[in-house]
Amino acid sequence: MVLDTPTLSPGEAMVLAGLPMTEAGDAARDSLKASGLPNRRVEAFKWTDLRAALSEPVADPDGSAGLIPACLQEALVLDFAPDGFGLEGDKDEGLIIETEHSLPMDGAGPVAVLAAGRAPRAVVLRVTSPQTRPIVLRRHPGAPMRLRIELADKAELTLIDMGLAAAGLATGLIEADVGAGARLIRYSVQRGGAQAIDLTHTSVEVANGGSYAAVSLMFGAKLARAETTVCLAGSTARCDLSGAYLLAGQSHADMTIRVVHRAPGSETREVFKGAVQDRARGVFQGKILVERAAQQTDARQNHHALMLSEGAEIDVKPELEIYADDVQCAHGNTIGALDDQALFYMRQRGIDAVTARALLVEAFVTEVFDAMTDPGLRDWFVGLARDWLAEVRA
Amino acid sequence: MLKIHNLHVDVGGTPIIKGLTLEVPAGEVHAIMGPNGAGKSTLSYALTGRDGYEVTQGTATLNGEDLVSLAPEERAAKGLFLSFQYPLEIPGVPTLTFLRTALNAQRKARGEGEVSVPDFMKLSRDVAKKLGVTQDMLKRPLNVGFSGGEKKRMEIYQMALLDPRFMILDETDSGLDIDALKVVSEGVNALRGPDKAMLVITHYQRLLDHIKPDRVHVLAGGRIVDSGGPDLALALEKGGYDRYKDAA
Amino acid sequence: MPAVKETIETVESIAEYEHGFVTEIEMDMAPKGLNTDIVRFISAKKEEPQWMLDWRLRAFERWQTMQEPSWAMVRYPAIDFQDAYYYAAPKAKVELNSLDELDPEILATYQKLGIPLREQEVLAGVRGAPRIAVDAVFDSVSVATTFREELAKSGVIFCSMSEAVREHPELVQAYLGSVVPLSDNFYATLNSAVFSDGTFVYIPPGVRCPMELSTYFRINAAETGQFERTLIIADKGSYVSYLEGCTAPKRDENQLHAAVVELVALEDAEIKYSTVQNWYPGDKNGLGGIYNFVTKRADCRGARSKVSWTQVETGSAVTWKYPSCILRGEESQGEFYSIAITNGHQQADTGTKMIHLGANTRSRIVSKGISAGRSNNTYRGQVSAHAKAKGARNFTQCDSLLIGDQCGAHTIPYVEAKTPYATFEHEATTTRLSEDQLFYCRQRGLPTEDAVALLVNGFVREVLQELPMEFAVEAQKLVAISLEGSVG
Ligand SMILES: Nc1ncnc2c1ncn2[C@@H]1O[C@H](COP(=O)(O)OP(=O)(O)OP(=O)(O)O)[C@@H](O)[C@H]1O
Ligand SMILES: [Mg+2]
Repeated sequence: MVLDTPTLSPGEAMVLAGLPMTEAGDAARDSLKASGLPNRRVEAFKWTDLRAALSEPVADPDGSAGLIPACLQEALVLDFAPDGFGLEGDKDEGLIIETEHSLPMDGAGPVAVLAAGRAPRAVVLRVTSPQTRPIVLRRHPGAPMRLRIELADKAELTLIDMGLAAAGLATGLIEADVGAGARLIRYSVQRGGAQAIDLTHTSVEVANGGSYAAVSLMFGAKLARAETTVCLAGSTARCDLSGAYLLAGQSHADMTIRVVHRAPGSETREVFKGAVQDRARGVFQGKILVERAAQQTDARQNHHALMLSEGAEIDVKPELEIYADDVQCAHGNTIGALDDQALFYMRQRGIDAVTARALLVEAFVTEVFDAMTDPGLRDWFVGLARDWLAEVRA
Repeated sequence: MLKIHNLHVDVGGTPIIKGLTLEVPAGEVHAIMGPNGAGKSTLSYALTGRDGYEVTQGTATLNGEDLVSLAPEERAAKGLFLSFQYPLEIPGVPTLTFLRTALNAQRKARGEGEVSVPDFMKLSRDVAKKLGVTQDMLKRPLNVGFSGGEKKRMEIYQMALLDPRFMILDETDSGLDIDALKVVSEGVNALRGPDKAMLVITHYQRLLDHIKPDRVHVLAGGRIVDSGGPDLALALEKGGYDRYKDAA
Repeated sequence: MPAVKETIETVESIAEYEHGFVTEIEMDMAPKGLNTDIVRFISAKKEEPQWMLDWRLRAFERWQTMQEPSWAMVRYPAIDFQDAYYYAAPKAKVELNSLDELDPEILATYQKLGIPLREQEVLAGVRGAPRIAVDAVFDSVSVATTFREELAKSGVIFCSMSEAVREHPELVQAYLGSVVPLSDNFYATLNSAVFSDGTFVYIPPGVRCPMELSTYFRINAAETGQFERTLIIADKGSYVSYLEGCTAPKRDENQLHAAVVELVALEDAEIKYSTVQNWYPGDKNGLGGIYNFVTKRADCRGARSKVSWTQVETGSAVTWKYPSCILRGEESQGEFYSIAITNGHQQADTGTKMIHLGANTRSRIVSKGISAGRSNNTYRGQVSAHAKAKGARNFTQCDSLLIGDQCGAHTIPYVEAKTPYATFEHEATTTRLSEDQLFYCRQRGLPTEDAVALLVNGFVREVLQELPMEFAVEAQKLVAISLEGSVG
């Protein structure tokens, strides 16, 4: 097969020009020059065409990183801005923060390569004991972020990553090693404007008895894609992923998830919900891969979405790839409109249609936040969802 | 008929049956009672050869033939039948198909000829009538969507149809309503005979009112800790298992 | 019920592919390779009109610019398309006037396969036995089509594709390529250029086809590709049930089968299309076997039309096949029922597409995959509802069963919703046979092999029920045979 070198679009050329002179920058440059950004003919980008989104130069970064909620006032804040990285707040024992200029990459795929390439250096968190103080990753518009997390055996850490760009290309690469019996918890909120492009790749490897739990809330952007790869490399490891996407206007959000079971006796639970209206587009791709050695795997994935108006689109590809026989794997997917009967029931009791809809959508979507143990954070997520509903019905 | 001597059974590496000795002669019905978790179901699985129920010591024979070394289906062909405490649902397999296949497999193993389709249909209808099993239940896939009581009734139906020699009934009474208990008990009693025997596991006297046992045993802590006549069951009903705490 | 017993007996008695024999017969072959001359040769052999040749040449031109698809989860060595014969036909003794003139070797072949070609044989059977009209395709050509006169009485056209091109050009020209366009995909385009024969069916308005129609495909010649083309048109308010069966001799080299099937259902028409695919799967070590790259598509063109695909896929070394429905007419319905079994080194990537274009269209997908040995079995399906498909509904159930720890089972559904007034439900599970159920069966006296056969038949029953009776029994046997030796 002959691979033509593509002519880069003005947007791609601009991304290329902005790459720093680092090893990772070189790798990203080579990949861009060789094949450009992935377009819809690339299977994994079938419904999220990066090349099309970046055909024109991206608007200059604009907006803020968003307000840190009251429940996180005590948190340690890592600030990622286009021009550098800063730190705010107290650091506890058992946490070491360093930066590195060159690191081998764990993540894979064009988004990971691009995110690694754009970050002039990587921030490395070494966690040697359980941390009670959460860490906030405050991502400013247009910022490149690269974060490496190493959780020693039995260590624990809670991460909150948030961004609220009106415009600009923001990229993130998070690579985490979760040691034996260690726990990494992550909450993320993504919200971008019509001129913003948010690309984040997360790659987590979990050792024996360790766990990774993540809850994400996406409101989309011109194009937002959150890729997550979790490799349960040790036995009896756990992965709990849940999330919601709420999309209106022209926004586009893509959750692409891949969980790999590599050793026996691990468990995965995924629950995702979406609500999409106007001309927005939600994409959910979730793959569970069970390797031959991963007997006694128990993996379940659920995705349920609501289409709230004409013109919206939801594309889903749940996927099971199974090579071990003593397993229990399942996925379920539903897409449809709100339940007419429930709507009628509420209206019969005197609630107006608009309110009834909002209540039903809220109940439907926020169910995925039940998994959050911290009531402050859960209220924050529910509040964000509620605000969105109030905004879009106005 | 059934002879169990110093039987030890491990489940998942944990010893559950710890030196159980029991004899049920032909023509008799013995009841086993005992607290939850005593090992009653474990005994029935070990006797029928379920995977994971490992006999580590002792013997179990049926009419002098060793059971422990046989595959479950070989034991079934020798006439050993277990009415499960929790009967399985098998989607897609019609009840009658299942039973005809089982019956003929057992007959084949015993060197007997197959039962023809018309004979089988007649047999299945006759038995169904006696046990109050509806044709609709027979048409459905095995036990799928059946109520708890219907499943138990179906177990006894299968038992009547396969005509085994040694029957183990593991809590067949649980889930049955009063009328069903009568029907099922009558069905069970009809299967008694001089060359047959039964082991009835139950928690309640009310079953034993219908199926009169010759002997009653108390299983606690993996052993038979007491044996007696039918009166023992009445005494247990009143006094509970407290007095066996130390014995176990 | 008897079928289960039979299944078990068959498992005991047959351990190998039973249709693996070769028929020795004089063949008329085109030279190896593929070029415009070969395309012209095929067209000339079939005495085709100019428009048909032009169509083939356009397809060939297009094909040369296309690349073999690589997205399926199947791996096989590159196919040398120049190293195969594209035309093989039994040497005909001029025009056949009756079956008696058919080469006795061929008649014997079909007899051995249990396919009735002599109408009197069918008629001589037990009264009330089902009557099936058969089109027998032997390598590149249709050798016999039965019950034609009786069908003609009700206006049903049932003949070979070559004959249809000559005798019913208006129908062929109007519909050929209207469902699977000439440029659709690599294999379909190849087929369009070199298709040799196949079956043509037309059911006139309001006619319920008086008997099951069937085509029986047999690849016999070595190093020969088979490229048949089937076109079924169900005119307004008509109904037809069509069966397709396939076998091939055992050969060490891989043989290519790239068929195209087009179904058109007009207003209120219904087509039921059943396949039992039992091409030679290759030997224990994965040597030989058919590459089955097939494009099957139905166009539910008219309002309230309905197409139901049922397939039992047990054969072939590699299967690449997605019988699909374009639900264009309002309230039209599509169904896909599938059993795909892979064993040994077989690879199957199969599923369906349900494209909802019209309002209130409905589709239902039930897929049961069973992987054993060292095989890989993939369900790949697409369901989409376009903006105008208000009230569309899909329900999909995909279950996979793994037998042994050296195989793979994969599920890849694509769902695209472009209207809020559509409802999609998809459920998928992957497990192995339940140990508890196995024990329960064995407690009742069933040996392990029988218990497995019984449970597997239970697992696929929902799909078997969709097959016409006499096919269901056949399929049930096949299920057991295909899994032979897979339980250790
Ligand atoms: N896989 C296992 N590993 C370890 N212990 C087990 C396992 N399965 C069962 N057991 C234990 O074995 C004991 C005996 O269980 P069994 O089912 O035989 O009790 P039972 O006498 O039938 O009780 P019940 O009256 O409630 O039916 C219980 O304590 C149970 O928890
Ligand atoms: Mg019990």
